[in-house]
Amino acid sequence: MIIELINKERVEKRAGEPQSAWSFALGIVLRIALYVGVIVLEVFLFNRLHGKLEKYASGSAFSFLILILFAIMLVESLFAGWKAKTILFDKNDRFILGTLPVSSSDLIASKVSFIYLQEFFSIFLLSVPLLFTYAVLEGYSPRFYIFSIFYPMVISLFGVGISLVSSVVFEVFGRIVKKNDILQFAIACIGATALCLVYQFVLTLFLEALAGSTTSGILSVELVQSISRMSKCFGPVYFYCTMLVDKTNIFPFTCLTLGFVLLSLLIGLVTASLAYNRFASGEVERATKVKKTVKTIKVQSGIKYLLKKEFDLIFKDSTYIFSYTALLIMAPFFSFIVISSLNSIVYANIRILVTYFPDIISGLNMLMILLFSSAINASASLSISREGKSIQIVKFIPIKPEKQIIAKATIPTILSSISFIVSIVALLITSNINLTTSVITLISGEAIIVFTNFVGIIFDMNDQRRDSKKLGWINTLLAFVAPVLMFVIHFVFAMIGVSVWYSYLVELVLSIALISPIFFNVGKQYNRYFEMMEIG
Amino acid sequence: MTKEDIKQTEVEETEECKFPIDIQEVHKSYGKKHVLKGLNLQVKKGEVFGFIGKNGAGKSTTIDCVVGLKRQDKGAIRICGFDTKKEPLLAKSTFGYVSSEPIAYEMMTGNEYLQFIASSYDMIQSSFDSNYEFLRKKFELSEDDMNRRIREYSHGMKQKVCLMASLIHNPEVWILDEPTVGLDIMVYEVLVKMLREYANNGRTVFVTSHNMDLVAKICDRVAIINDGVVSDLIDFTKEPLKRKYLSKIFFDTYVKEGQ
Repeated sequence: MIIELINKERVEKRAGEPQSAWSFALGIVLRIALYVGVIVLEVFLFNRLHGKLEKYASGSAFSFLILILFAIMLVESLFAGWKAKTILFDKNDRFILGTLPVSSSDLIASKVSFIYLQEFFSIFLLSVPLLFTYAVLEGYSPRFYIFSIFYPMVISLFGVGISLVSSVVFEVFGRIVKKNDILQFAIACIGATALCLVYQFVLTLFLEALAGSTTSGILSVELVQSISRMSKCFGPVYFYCTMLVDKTNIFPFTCLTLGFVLLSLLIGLVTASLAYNRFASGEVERATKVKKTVKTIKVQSGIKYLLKKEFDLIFKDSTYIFSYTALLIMAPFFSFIVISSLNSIVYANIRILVTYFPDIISGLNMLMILLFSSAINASASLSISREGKSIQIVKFIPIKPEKQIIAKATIPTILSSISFIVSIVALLITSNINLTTSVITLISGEAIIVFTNFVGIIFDMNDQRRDSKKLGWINTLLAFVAPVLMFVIHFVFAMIGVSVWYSYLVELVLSIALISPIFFNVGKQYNRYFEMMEIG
Repeated sequence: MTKEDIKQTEVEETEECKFPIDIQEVHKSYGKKHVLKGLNLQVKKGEVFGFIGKNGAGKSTTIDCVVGLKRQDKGAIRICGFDTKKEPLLAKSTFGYVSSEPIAYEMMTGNEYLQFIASSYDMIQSSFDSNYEFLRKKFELSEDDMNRRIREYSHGMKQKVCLMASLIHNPEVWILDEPTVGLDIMVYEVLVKMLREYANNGRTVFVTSHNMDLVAKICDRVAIINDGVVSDLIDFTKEPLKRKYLSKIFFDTYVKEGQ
C-alpha cells in the first residue's frame, strides 16, 4: 500500500497540463542543463576558493566545504519542507485519503518516504560533486569517494527531520499569515531583503573567485576564522565529513552522526504526525474576527471599480504579494545593492575591461536594471490568468472588453513603472549610473513594461482559448530576451569600437519598435481575443 | 449611443420580446467533438424553464454559449432580443447568472463583491440599496458575514452571495446552472420560492438541474437535451400530470436512444 501511496504523490506532483512529447523532452533537457550548470558553477567556485583559503591556514578549505554542504542540506530541507507542506496538509488529499481504509501511519510513512526520495536526489546532485572535487584537490584515497556516495543517504534523513518540522511551521504560519494582508506584505518584504543580501554576498564571492586577486573583500581573515570555528556546530555534516578525512575516530563520529539523524527524524516524525492528525480533525480551524465596518456601499461608475478590483487582485492575493508586490517595493533596493557591488568589484578586479572597453560597464548596468524590472513585471503581466476561475465574471458582466483590458494592464504598468523609476533615480543619485545611461535605461525599461502589459495581455487571452497554441511564454521570454539583446548591442558596438551613442540610438529604435503595436489599434485585437476566450 | 439611449432601447426591446431566450440552430464543437448539433429553444416570458440532460449531453455548453463564456460556431442566440454575438453588452445587461460552482472574487468581502457587480451593471444607488437589503435578508446573510472575505465562506455561503450578485441588478432573465448544490434545506426552500415568485412577476427563469424533484416542482416547461439537440419538450401547464413522471420520462429518453 505504501508503494501505491508514494506513487500517488509522484503522480500528483507531476499533474498539470497535458504535455506533448516534444515539450516533455525539452523540459527534461532544460532540467538536466540546469543541474549541470549549477554543478559546474559550484565546482568551479569551490575549486577557485580552495586555493585561496588554503593560504590562510590548512583546514580552512575543509571548514568551507562543511559550510557549503550544510548550507545545501539546510536550503534543500527548507525547500522540501515547503513542498512537504502541500504533500502533508493538502485539504483535498486529506479529504480523499481520510475516507479510505488506510492507516495514518501508512499515510505518513508514504509521504515521508516521498519527501526523503526528493531530498536525497537533490542533495546527491549538489553535494557529491563537491565532495569529489575536494577529494581530488586534497588527493584523498578511494575510501573517501566510496563513503562520499553514502553521504546524501544519511544526511537526507537528517534533512527529512528538518523538512517535517519546517513543514508544520510553514503550515501554521501560513494559516496565520493567510488572513492578514499586512503581515503577508511584511514577510514578503523581509524575504526579498534577505534574498537581496544573499544574492549580493554570492555575487561578490563569485566575482572575487573569478577575479583571481588576493584574498580581500568578503573573504577576510576574520570570516575564514569564524567559518573554521562555526564548522564544528554543523552537527552530522561536520561529523560525517570528519569521518571521511580522519581514520582514527570513525566509531565515535559514526555514533554522533547517527544520533543526530535519529533525533532529527524522531522530532520531525512526532511533530508532523501530531500536526497531521490535528489538522485532519480540524481542531486548528478557527474563524477569523470580523472587522466591524459599518459603511454604506456606494455604487461606482467609470473605470474606478475595475481599477479597484485589479488593485485588490494584486494586493490581496498572497500569490501576487510574494511574487510581485513585495518585489516591486524591494526592486530599488535590490538594484542598488547589485549594481553597486557589481561596479565596485568590476572596477577593483577587472580593470583591463574598464580601461579598454569602458562602455561595456554601462551596458552591464543596463542589463541588470532591465532584467530586475522586466522579470518582476513579467509575473504580473498575465492579467487574465491572474483572474483564475473568476475569469467567468469578466466574461459575463456587461462591460466593454477594451475597458476591462485597459484596466487590467494599467495597474501593473503604473506599479512597475513607479518602482522602476525609483530604482533608476536611486542609482543616478548615488552615481552608480550616469545620466545618459539612466535615460536610455528608463525608456527601454518602460517600453518593455508597456509591451508586456498591454500587448502581452493578448497572448494571455489567446491562451484561454481551447486548443489554441499557448503563447503566454512569449511574455516571460521577452522579459529576459529584450534586456539581453540590448546588452549584446552595447557589447558588440563597444568591442568593435563604435561610439556608445550609436548603441543608444539602436536601443531607442528597438524600444520604439517594441511599443509600436499599441499604435496599431490594439483595441480591436482586445475585442477579438476577448470574444474568442472560452471559459470552462 | 449614450447610456440613457442604451437603457431606453433595452426597455423597449424587452417590452417587445416574447421569447427572452431564443436559441436558433446553435452548433458548437470542441475540436472534432460536435457537442451542440443545431439546438433550437425558445423560452417564454414569465416562465420557469427547466433544462435537463445527462452529463455530457450539452447542457453546460448551451448555458456557456447563452451567457457568453463560449461562442457558438453557428446559429444565433438572442437574450431579450439582443443577439449575443452582435450586441453582447446589451445581451449581458439583461440577465443574471449563477454558475454550478460558486465563483466570486474571493479576496473581496461579500459587500465589496456586490458593489463591484452593481457598478458593472451601472446601477442606481437607491435601487441597489433596496435590492441589497431585500436579498441579504432573504438569503439570511448577516452584516458580519457580508463584511467577511469570500475566501473564508463555506460553500453554501459562497453560493448565497453568488445568488445575491445574480439578482442585485434586477435582471429580466435569471439563468441558473445547478443552483441548489451546497445549499442548506432552509435556503433551498427560499430559493425554490424565489424562482417561482420571480417568474410570477413577469421575469424569466432558465434553470438546469439534476434534481428532478426541483425541476418537476417549479418549472412550467422542461426541455430534455440529448446528443446536442432538444429531444423532448414537456409543457406542464398543458400536461400537469407529467410532473409526477418526469424522472421516468427522462430515463425513457435515454433508454430509447439505447444509452
